[in-house]
Amino acid sequence: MHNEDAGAGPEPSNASYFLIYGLILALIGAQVLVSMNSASIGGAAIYLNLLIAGAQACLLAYFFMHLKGADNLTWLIAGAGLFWIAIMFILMLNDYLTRQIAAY
Amino acid sequence: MSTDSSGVLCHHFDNIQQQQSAARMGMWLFLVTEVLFFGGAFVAYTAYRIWYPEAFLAGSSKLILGFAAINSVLLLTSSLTITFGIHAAHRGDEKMLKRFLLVTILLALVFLGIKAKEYYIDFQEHLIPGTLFITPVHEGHPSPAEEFEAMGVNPGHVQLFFMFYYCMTGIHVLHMIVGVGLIGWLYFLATRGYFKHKERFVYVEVTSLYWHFVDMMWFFLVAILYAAGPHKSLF
Repeated sequence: MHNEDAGAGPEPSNASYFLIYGLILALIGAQVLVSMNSASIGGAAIYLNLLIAGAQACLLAYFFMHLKGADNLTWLIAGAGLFWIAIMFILMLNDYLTRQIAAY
Repeated sequence: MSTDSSGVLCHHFDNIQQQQSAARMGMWLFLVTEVLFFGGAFVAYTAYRIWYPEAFLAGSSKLILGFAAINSVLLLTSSLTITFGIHAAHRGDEKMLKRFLLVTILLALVFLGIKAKEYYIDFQEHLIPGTLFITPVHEGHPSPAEEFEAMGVNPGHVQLFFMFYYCMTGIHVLHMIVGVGLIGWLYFLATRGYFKHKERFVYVEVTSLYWHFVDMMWFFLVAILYAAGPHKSLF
């Protein structure tokens, strides 16, 4: 990762970026397919779509955003973001989803 | 403010690697705040989606999935081109850097153009919360509210879905415009020879982090807004 001239830099493999690009493209196609068939898939469609979006986000973060070769501090910050968003989801939904819906 | 002969290293850093790490960490910290910023909207959407699933599915099925898919491809391709831009900057190849930045900007502008077209179609179909929603689209045709009521769905709840749709895609568009501005600034700097010092590639890299994040948010918006409901056709 370290280059004496320019400092730490991106890994120089264009082929791997094209591979990841292709994978995410395939996931976009999968998302469209799920949506077009969601009448037959039923309630699971939203979970499938979120799973696909999660996979797309992971590929982007790991390869395009260079988490792959990142230092521990960057991983800590990325992990903290996920942890805090989890707190936000859990505590807020814990409140709203346990209230009487009739109140709204 | 710089202590090295090239003017790249700022005086308060020991070396260029430390300076680059600080730039990356700063952007990652900013992105964490962005996650929480978008997160509030996602949590609110989740609560209402759980309360009114039928209305949200019905609303989603009115959105144009084909536009969303094309925009996903455009944004993903722009993520690829800006990544190649980092490589060009890392090599000190300003000519290629400018090309990649320009292609990234063009892809983003096409995205924004498609989004504008989509908003216009939504406006024409009166898929906007408020008075238009209860106004017939054409003489003798039902309004969106009447249409959804005939489907057995509460039109008020569908309007809530569209409120989320406009707020969330609007925030995303705002981020896109900021991103285009930042990449445009990098392009301007490249025309002035700023990236002749290849150590400065990190400024392209931190901007790309923001750009990839905008891309990432779009994937989740497609999942919960466009692809959530059943679609019979792409357009």
